[in-house]
Amino acid sequence: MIWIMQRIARRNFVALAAIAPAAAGAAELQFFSAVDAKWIDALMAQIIPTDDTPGAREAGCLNYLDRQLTEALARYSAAYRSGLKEFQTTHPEFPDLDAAAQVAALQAIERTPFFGMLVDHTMQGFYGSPDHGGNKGEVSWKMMGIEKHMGGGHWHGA
Amino acid sequence: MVLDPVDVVIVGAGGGGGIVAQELSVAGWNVVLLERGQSQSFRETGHLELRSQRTTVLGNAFGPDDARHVRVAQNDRGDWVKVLPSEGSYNNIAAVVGGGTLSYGAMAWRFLPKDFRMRSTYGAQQGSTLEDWPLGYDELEPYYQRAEWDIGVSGKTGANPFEGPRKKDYPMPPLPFNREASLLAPAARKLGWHPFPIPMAINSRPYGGRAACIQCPHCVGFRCEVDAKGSTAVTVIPRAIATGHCRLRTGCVVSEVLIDAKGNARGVSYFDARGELVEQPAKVVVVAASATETARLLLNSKTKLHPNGLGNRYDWVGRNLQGHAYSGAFGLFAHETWDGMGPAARIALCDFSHGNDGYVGGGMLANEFIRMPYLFARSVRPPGAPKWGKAHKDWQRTWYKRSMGVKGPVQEVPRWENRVEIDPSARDHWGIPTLRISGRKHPSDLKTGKYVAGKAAEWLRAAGALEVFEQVPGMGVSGGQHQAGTARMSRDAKLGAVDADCRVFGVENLYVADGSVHVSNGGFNPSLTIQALAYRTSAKILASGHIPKQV
Repeated sequence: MIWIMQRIARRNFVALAAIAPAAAGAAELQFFSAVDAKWIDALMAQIIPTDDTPGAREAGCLNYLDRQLTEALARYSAAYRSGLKEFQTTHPEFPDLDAAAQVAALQAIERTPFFGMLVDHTMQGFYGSPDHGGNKGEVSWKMMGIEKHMGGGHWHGA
Repeated sequence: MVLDPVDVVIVGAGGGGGIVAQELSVAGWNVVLLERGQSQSFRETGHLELRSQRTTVLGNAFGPDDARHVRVAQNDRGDWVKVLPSEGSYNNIAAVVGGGTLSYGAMAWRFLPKDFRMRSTYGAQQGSTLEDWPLGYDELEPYYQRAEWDIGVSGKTGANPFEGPRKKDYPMPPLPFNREASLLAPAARKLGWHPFPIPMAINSRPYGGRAACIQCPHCVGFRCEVDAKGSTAVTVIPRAIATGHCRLRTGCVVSEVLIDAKGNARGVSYFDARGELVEQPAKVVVVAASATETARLLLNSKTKLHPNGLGNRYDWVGRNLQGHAYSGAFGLFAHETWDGMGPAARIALCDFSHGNDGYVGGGMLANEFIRMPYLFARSVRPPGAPKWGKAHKDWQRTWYKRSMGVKGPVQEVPRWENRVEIDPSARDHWGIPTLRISGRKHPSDLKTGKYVAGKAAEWLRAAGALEVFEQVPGMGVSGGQHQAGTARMSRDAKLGAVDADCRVFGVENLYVADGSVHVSNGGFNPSLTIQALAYRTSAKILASGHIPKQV
C-alpha cells in the first residue's frame, strides 16, 4: 500500500508557513481550565498532527471539545475530569516532551478508554462541520479535496 | 380531555402512516394523523454530518431527542443498560414528519417473489421462526406499482432479470451513472453478473410538483435540499392535508390504544405538544410507529380482555425483531473513484439474493452512498489500520477519493428470542413504560453475510481494486432504520399478531402499517414494501365496512 501513497501526489499541499499560529486567539474556555486545555491540546496535536497540512491544533479540535462538553457531549464530562487527571499524574512531563516521545507515550495507552474517547472526539472536531466549533477554515475538507462539495453546509454545484 | 371523535386516528406520520392518511382522507374519511416529532424544514436540519441519521454523535437532527427518550438494551455480558437515542444500541428510527423517509437514502426496492416464501424455499431452520408470508408477490404487485407512481420512483424497467413480473414501467428513468457505477458495471458483466441502476424514490426529472435531484453528496442521512426525495413529508402527507379531511398533529406521544367493553379499539390516549394527556376517540385505529414503537404501544395497551397487550394472546408481539445483516467490502484503487456526485449509490445486482448453494437467502449488492468524512475515518479502515497520528491522516487523505464500497442488506433468519418487551422500571419523559431490546443474530446470518461479502470483494477486484477488505456483521440484534418483524402477519391467529390484512388479531378495528408486520425482511431496504403494504391495508380498511362508504 505504501508504494501507492508515495506515487500519488497530494492535491492539497499547503506549506507549513501558511498555517496560522497554533491556538492563537482561541475562544474563551467553557469546560477546561487553561492548564487542562494545554494538555488536551497537546494530546490532540499528536492524534491528528500538523504536517504539510493543518492538524487538530489548527482545526480548533480543542475548541470543539471544550464547547461540546457543555452541550451535546456533556455526558462525557466526568470521564474527561477523571481521565485527564489520571493521565497528568502518570505522565507529568507530557506537554514538554518532544513529538517522538509524546507519540511513544500515547502508543503505550492507546487501548485505554480515555484515549479512545479522545481520539473519537478529536476526529469529530476535525472532520465535522465548522458549525460545531472545530474544522476551522474547513481544513480537513480542504485536505481531502472536498471543500467545494461540503463547504458552508451546502453544495454549490459542480 | 376528550376530543371530538374522528373516523380514524393514525399513530405515526412516517413511511407507512403517511400513505394511510392520504388514502383514507382522499376517500372522505375524517383523519387525525399523530406524530411524536415535528415538521422539519431543510433549514432546520441542514447538512451536518455529526447530527445526521447515520452519525448521531451530537444527537439526531430528526429525533428522537436524548433529553426525553430512553430505552434499555442487553449488552454482551447480559446486563441491562440504559441507552439514549444517539447511541447505536437504541436502534433509532427518525422521529419526524416523514419518519425514516425524510432522511433515508430512498432506495425503492420491490422484494423478490421468493422473499415472501422463505420457509417454502429454504425449509424450516433450527433456532428460527422462518415462515412464508400469508400473501405473495403477485398480490402485492399492484400496490408496489401504486407506490412507485404515487411517490415517484426512478429506475430502469426490465434491467433486473431477477425481479418479479411488473405490469407497469417506472414513472421516471434512472439517475445517471457516476464514476463508481461506470467502473462497476463492466466488471460485473465480466463476471457474468447482472448489474442495473438502483431504483430510487428520487426524482431524476421534475415529478409530482417536486424538483429533480441536483446530485449533491448529502443524501442518505439528510433531508433533501430540493425535496427530490419522495419522503411522505413532501408527497402523500401534504396531499392528505390538502383534502381538508386530515389533521396532522405534531409533538404528540401516544401512550395507549383505548379499548371498549367488547375488546375493540375506541381511540388512543396521547400527550399533546403541551404535555397534556388527551383522548382521541376514533372508529378505526392504525398504528404505524415503527417495529419497535408499535410493539411497545401494543404491549403497553393492556386491558382485561387483552391482559398481555393487544394482538399478543400467543406472545408474538415484540418477537422476531430483525433488520439486516449488512455485509460487503471496500476496495482501494490507484486512481480516483470519487466524483462527488450524489447520491453515489447507483448500481446494484441481485445475483446473490437467492439461489446461493448451502446458504439461506442472501442480499442484493449495491455500491455505497457518499460517505461523510467522519464516518469514513471511523468505519472505512482495514483491520489493524492506524486509528490516530500521522498514519491516520495519510490514510484519510490518500484513500478517501480512491476507495469504494459495495455492500448489501443480507436477509436475516428471524429468531423468536430477538425481541422488544416492556422494561419493568424504565420510563420516558412522559412516564410511559419504555422498551428493552435483546437478542443475537442467528448463526446462519453470519454465514450468509460472509458469503455475500466475498462476492462484494470479487466485484471490487474485477473493477480493478488494488486491495480489498471484507466487512461482515456483528452478532448483535438488528433493528435500526430497517427494523421489522415485531407484529408478524399470519393467516393463523396462533402464529402471528396481525392477519393478512394487517388487522390485529382479536381487535376488529385496529391495524398496523409499518415494518412490524413483515414475516421476513427481504434482502433489500424495506421502505417500498412497507409502503406497498400500507396502500393495500388502506384498501382493506376502506372495504371493511367500519365506516359506510361516503359519496
